[in-house]
Amino acid sequence: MVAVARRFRPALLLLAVTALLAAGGPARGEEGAPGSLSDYQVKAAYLYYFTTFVDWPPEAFERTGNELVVGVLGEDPFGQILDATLRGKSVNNRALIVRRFASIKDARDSHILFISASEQDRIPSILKALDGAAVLTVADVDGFATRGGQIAFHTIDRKVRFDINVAAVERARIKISAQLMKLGRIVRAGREGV
Amino acid sequence: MKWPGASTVRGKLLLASILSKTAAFLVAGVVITGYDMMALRERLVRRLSIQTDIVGANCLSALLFNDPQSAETTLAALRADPRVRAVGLYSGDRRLFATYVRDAGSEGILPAEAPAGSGPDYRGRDDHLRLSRNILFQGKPIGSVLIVSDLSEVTATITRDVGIFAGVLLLALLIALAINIRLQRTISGPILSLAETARKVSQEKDYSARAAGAGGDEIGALVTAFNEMLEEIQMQQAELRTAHDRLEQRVAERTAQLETAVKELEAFSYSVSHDLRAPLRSIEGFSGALMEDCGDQLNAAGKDSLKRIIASTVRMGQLIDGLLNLSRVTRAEIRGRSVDLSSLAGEIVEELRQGENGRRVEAVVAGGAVVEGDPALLRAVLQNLIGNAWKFTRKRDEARIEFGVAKESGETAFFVRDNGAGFDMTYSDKLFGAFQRLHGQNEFPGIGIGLATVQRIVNRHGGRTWATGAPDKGATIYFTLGNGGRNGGQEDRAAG
Amino acid sequence: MADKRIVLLVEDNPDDEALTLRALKKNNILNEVVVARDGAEALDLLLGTNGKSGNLKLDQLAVVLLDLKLPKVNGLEVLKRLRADPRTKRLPVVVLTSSKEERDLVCAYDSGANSYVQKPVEFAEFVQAAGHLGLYWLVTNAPPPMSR
Repeated sequence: MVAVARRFRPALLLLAVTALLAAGGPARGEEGAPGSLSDYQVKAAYLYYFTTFVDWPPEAFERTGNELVVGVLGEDPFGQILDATLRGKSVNNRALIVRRFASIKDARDSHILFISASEQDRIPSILKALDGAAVLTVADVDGFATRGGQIAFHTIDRKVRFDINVAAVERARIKISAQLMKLGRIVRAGREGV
Repeated sequence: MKWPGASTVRGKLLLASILSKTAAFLVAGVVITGYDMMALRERLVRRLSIQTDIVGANCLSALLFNDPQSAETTLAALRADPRVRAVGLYSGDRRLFATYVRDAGSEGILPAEAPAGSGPDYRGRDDHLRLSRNILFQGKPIGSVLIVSDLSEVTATITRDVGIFAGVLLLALLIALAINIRLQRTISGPILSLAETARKVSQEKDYSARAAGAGGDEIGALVTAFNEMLEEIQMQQAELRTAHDRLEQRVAERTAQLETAVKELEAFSYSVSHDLRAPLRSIEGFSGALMEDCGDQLNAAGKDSLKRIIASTVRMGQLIDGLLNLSRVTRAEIRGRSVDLSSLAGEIVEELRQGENGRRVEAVVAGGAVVEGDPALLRAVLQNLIGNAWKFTRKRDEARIEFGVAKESGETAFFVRDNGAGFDMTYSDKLFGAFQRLHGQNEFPGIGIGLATVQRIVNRHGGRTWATGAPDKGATIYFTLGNGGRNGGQEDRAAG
Repeated sequence: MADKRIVLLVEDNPDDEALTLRALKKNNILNEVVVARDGAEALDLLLGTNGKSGNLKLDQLAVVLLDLKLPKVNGLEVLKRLRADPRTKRLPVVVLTSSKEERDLVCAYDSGANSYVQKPVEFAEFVQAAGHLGLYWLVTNAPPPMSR
């Protein structure tokens, strides 16, 4: 049945507020109109959610121990948002840490890596550099998923949606929960598809 | 409360059986159905809870990632369970996020806002079961799921249960009826036979009847005892009859003996009255003749002897007459008639006056003394008593004789009183004895049988006699009359 | 007064017979008195036997003085037979006996006695009774006409 049309903004606002309240503090550094959420607040939330629906292989934590690193490569579009969103949170007893990387060499130590749009030209080399590492690559660059990235954000109807490149995820030895899978649009390398 | 058909033992047994079975079934049915209902509800709630939790869990990501469509897809999976009428997914702001309804157009079932609390709720306008559960993310609620399930299952179960129970109850009752009909023969059969026999015995007095059905149980024991009792009664009846017959026989024998005795007595009296008197007559007559014919040839002693002879024979005649009288009185049948003693007394006084014209005797006779008795015998009584009074007042110038009525300890007593010679009360017990005299022959003649006769007659009338007196102060003879001969007279009372 | 009529005395006791005759004599009843000593003799005299008439002339009989206790045929039987025979049906019969038993009275009267007199013990009384009897039956009473 077709869902009743709802204004998503208030819903998203409440969603984020709930999440932020759960985080124990008011959101900081939010942009956009008062009461409305910016894309990056949603994306930040999504990154947080991803950590709960994704399983990394055990060796991914060998060097980081009890930390789960959420990295940002390139120009940070989140500002304080990501920090605020992830502050104090932990998943599976692992504290969520935000790291910013300038170069890919260090980024292999993250678990989720958000590749900002500033790097979009270097995406293939980045992905190559990350080959074999259990890192969930996320970007909001067009065609990221088809080019080998794992999760690509895109906005449809003012809603943030994402594509998932299942093969790439599997290559990274990462398991994504079915619940997450069904929300995303499955993409194969080189092709847009379901 | 009157139950039709419960007036017989059979009816009672049947009723008891039916009632007990129905009660048992009802109790079982209610208990089991109730338990079923409760269990069903529990299962329902549990299932709903599970479903809700599963749905909630499955919708977690959709909620998180704000994908209502995905949520609805998930919710729609519940179409597989026809009992689920609607499911509502509510976001953290308690607004409806995604829905599923079984029947198109019934979206109104789901409230616009998530209900408070997360327990099962049975109330609701449509009598549905609603269950709502929070969806937790990382331990914190981010939304809730509300499932609305109809209770048709429960209703169906109850209906099925009741139906089964009713059916089984009916079947059981029918079986019970059949068993009862079978069984009543062994139980109420003997009882009915017993009742019938008892009725027959009491109505027709037929003690030869016996009840059937002397079985082994208590009823059988009762029947056996009953039959034995009837046997006993029959035997006693037979004994009674034998005794009765024997008694009657003995009575007949005795009566015959009595009649013989009476006849013999009559013959004796008859003989006496004829045969004893004849020689007496001769003695007296020829003595008299001797006196007349040869008197002048006798000296004084001879004449004296003759006189004594004559006197003795006369006396003997009187004795014989007196005895015969007494005997006749004893034997006579008392004919119960109305007798006016007053007028009788008057007559007797008159007779005496006429017999002795010269005497001055004042006679007072109380009127109205009417009794029931034998006229002849009662006349004899008064003759004796008044005659005695007449005789014993001979020496009085102012003789007074009274016949009256007195009340003596509640009884009506009659008396004859005179102011004559009287008697000494110390000899009063001899007064009524036969041939007992309290005076010499020279003072007052008599043989002493009058009062004995009076007493015999009075006793035969069921009365008694007694007397009071003092020497030279007169005497009063009292007598009462009992039934007055209605029973043919009672035999001698204690006073004799 | 001299009277040609006869008195039949049926009496078995010679003493009683003598006394009765004496009593009659004392009353100056000088009628002839015929004595029968038992019932059979009386019947013979009155009715005769075997069809022959009795020796007694019935139209000369004034009265029969009949005792009840008689040998051979008793007084009641005699009375009944007399009453059964048309010749002696109306013959005056006085039962003269010692018994005062009611039974005897009843039977006597039922059998057709004209009178019942008890023989008293005292002779004097007897004389008086005989006098009455004679006076009545020989003088006062009108004899029944004899039937032939």
